[in-house]
Amino acid sequence: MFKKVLIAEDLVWNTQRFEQQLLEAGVEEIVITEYCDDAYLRYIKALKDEKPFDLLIADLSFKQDHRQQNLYSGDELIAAIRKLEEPLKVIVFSMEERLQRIRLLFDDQKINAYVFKSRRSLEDMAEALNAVHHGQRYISPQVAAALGSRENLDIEEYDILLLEAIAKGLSNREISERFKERTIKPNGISSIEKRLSKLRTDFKATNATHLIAVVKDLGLI
Amino acid sequence: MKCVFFSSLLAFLIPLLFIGSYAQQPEAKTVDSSAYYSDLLMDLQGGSDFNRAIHFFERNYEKNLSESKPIAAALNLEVLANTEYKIGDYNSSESLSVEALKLLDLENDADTQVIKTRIYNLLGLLYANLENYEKSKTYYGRSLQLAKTTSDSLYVLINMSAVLRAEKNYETAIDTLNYALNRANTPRYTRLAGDLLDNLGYTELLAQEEESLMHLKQSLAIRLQLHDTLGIFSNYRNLSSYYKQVPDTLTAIDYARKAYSLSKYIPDPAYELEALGLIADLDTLEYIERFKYLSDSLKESALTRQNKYAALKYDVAREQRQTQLALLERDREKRLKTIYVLTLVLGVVVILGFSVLSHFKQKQKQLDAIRKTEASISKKVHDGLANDTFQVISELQNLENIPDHILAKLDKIYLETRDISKNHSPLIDGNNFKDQLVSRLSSYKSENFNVITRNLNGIDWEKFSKNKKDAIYMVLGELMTNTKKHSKASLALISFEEKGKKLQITFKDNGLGNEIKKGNGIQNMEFRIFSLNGTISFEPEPGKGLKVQILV
Repeated sequence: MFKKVLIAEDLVWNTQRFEQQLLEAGVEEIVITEYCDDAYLRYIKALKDEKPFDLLIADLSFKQDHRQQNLYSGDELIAAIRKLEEPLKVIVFSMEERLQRIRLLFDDQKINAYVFKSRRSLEDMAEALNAVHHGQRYISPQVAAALGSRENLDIEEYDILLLEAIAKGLSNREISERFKERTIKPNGISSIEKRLSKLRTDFKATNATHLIAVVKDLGLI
Repeated sequence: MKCVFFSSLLAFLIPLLFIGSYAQQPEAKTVDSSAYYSDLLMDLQGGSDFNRAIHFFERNYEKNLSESKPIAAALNLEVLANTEYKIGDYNSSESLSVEALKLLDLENDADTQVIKTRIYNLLGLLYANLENYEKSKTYYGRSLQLAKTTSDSLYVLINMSAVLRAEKNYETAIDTLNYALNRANTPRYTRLAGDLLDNLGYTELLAQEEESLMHLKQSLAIRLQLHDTLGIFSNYRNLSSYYKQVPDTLTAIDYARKAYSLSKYIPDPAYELEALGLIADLDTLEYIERFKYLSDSLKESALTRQNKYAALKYDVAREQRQTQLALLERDREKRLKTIYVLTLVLGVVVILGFSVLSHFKQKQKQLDAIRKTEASISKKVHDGLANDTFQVISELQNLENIPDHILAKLDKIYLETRDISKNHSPLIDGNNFKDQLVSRLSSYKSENFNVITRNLNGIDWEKFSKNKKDAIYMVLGELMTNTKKHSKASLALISFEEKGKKLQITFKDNGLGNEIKKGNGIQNMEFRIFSLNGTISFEPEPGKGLKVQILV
């Protein structure tokens, strides 16, 4: 397990629970800071003392108070530390749910895990620690789409042709033949069936009739 | 000679109306935009601009009302009433006029009387168009009582005689016109005298009175002197009708041909058509083919126009007559005056340009301020409220004997706070817009709800301004939140289509399609789209879902 862990999080209560969790998991030393600036200084000092941290757990947003800060957010802290080019593992613990922003953390800041703040976050954190320790990435399921393939919500023109053909009352076999005549691909019966079943899922329809009713109501065909 | 003069008073009065509203509103900015929007309404062509202009006057009306400025509010209503009249929505025009009169009753001075003169005349026109001649005459009578200037009175009298003529009450119509003619007996009113004589001659023609010919010729003489092309056309037409009645077909054809050759100088082909109609009526075959051809092609285009704006044709005629007059008059002006006018126009253009520019700058500032405020509220809700709620949840979780439904409720509060924050969190600067929009939209997906887009990938997003993308991002987010919260929909479909420089977005869900309450959410969306000169319409269909169309 990790030996020395740095936590940057301004919600005191949360950190106590993590501390407990980390100690149970076998971490030897835990340093908790409530400000990003403090976290950065502690990290630099540990490097100089040649007793570096091997894990950073950081929130993204910090409440601002009277203290003047250089680093206002977890993103800035991570970016500053990443500039030092040390092999530090990073877990972000936040309620940020904009997928784009989370994706950027993984892509640009090379974070190792993202734990989403929810009722389940203790369990998530345990999984994250385990995964990162074994050199894997982790992301809480609520925001997992951030790492999925780039999402594409667009319906394809092919699907519309298919739906129109079904609406005309053509059987899958007839559709396959027509598509072949017009060199529309894919045109195999099994691919058409597969595609239709995907469309049923996408349009939350229970069967082909329902599917056509739904897309007609939406004005898609 | 069917009511050519029906809208004359309107044409004459509209400039007056703006003088009135200028006097009421001293701030430079208000004047600019109100003149701008009045022009839009005069012009009746643009679709979305037109709606905006109506919107502008409606808002101004409400504002003036709340600031208890009844006269200013009445002026706003008058503009709206005139517009509705032009569109052909006589019922709305009527109720707006009545509303304006009520407001004007609150104060009684010279100003309100001038406005009343105009509104009574409008009501007269309105009822004449509805063929309610009794009411029409009553209102013309009231307008006449209040009319301050001779020319105002004369216009109303012409309108009045048209109603009498329509009632076939030729005797009274002739009396009315003769009375008016006596009052117009000074060089100042020559033009009006020409109009009066034409009307008189035509009415006498219908009444089969002998003086008809004399009056028509007198009118023609005046108008020839004034180079009043449209007036002359009307004279030729009426003279042709006169000789047809005599009967003296050859002279009638002569005048019809004169009207026809004159019509070539009038841009509106309707005149050529009418002249050809006259000739065709007189049984000469040579023009019939051309007549039929023109008639068919014109009818087709006229029909589509007329369906939209039933009463528009009067305005087109009026507009063109005015343009024609202006052109002829300018010819006669000396060069010096032309230069003077040009300088003036240039000055106005420059001033207008400046005010438009500063208007845009102002708007950009407003948009930026709104964006900033929103971002900061969103961040505060997120970093403060949501975080605190989360902390309470985690504290409670650590205690024993906390009933699960309490935790569940808190969890719901936590979710909703995050939703608020999410709804107001703007685009992250400088990142791929398409990805951000897709992320935002897919964040609403769940087991029971799916979002499908059409042609989102096909749009060249680089083409659109940051403001526009901001608005699209926020409005679609707001729509999704609404749909998920209230509609019980399982699907939302969002289609995108580039329309030249604009983007057309159609949103459709399959929810309850309940009537939407005009709450904050809707207003926010409208504000965002309107501030970009776009349009947004909400079309709920009960049982089928909500459809929202955006053009921005």
